[in-house]
Amino acid sequence: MNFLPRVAEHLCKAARSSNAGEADAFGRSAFNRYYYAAYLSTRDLLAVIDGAWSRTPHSNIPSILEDDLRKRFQRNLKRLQDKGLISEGKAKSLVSQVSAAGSEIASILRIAYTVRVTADYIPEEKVIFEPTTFQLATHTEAEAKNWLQRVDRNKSIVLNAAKEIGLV
Amino acid sequence: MSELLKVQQYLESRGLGFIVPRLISPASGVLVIEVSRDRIKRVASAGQTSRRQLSFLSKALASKFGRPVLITVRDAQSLDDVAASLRAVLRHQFPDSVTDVYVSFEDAGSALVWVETASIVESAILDAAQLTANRELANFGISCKSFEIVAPLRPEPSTVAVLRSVKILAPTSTAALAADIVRRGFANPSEKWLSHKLDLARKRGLVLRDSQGRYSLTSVGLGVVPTNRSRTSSDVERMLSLARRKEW
Repeated sequence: MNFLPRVAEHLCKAARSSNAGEADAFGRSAFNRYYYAAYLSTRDLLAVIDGAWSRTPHSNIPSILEDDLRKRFQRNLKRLQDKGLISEGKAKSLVSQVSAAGSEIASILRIAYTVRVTADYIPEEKVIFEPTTFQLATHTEAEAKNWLQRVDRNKSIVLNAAKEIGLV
Repeated sequence: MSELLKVQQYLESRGLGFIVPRLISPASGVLVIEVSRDRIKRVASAGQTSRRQLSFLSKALASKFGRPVLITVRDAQSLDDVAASLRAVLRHQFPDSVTDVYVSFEDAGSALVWVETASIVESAILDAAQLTANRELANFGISCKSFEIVAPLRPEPSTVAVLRSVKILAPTSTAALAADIVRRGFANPSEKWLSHKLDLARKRGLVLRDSQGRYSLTSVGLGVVPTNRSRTSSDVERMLSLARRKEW
């Protein structure tokens, strides 16, 4: 799975050096690969927290990240707080970290998902080429390239919090 | 003793140690000394100088060392601006690696740069960041004397994190616990620190210590360690650990 970003970059290069019709096809596929790189990394995170979450349909993942993830942490933290194993302040800070990181991953995936659906199912909406970059559904290739990195950064925040409360 | 050092000592003997002899130009023989702008006040006092004192000093140095003297004033604010611009450039060019940049000016011509990274970053990216820093500082006539990476520190294991390791390895010695805690990405705890932490947990009725100094969780302790439906659940890891030891 670590090869997906490289595949996407290769497709981007091909898109830039092809004629109009081919360029559109290569460009769309690049967006698709960038989406899957971000999605699979997120799915890894969900599988670590709860195996059942990893089988969620794509479009439901953002809501898991925004709500269920936070609730899962709150529930576990409550138990630790009752036993006096974690201070209220620390618990609140962990919840806010997890909830901010979860929301950011969710918003990245929402955008990425929209672009990916456009790429795969709406061929009449074409990739727009500009001198140095190209874009689909108003999102540029450079932006798509960052999806995975942004997801991974937030993922590590969630994983660290999970480790801290003994969940992982 | 180099001539610059003699000049330095002379300045110090006059209580002007904050004025720095920068260089003696090999071509013209001019002695360049430098003073930070925030050291120049209208009237000289301890740790401060004045324009008037500087002009006297320049004449005194010229007659004592037989050289033309040039006094340069370095803007302290300007150094702050250099630091701010370097910070902006690095964060802009490496948005996913560089989270913060600190610059310390050892003297006005050389800077020490610390870069804080978001996570463990590839060395190729760090090399590129260092080149950028060198280039940026060179624009201001400053050399980058050192370039350090400050990676995020490994966190100290929380009590629950320790309990989780106890649950999986029980009955376990502190040495095995420490190794497991490090494997899970926490800072390496000393056995003393760990024993203290475990003793506190024991007093709260969360762990038991047997006669051989090995620790296990009590039922209360078991209730505290979270479980989930996943291959990383503490229940699953406990079973795998027992299976590996063939005690199950």
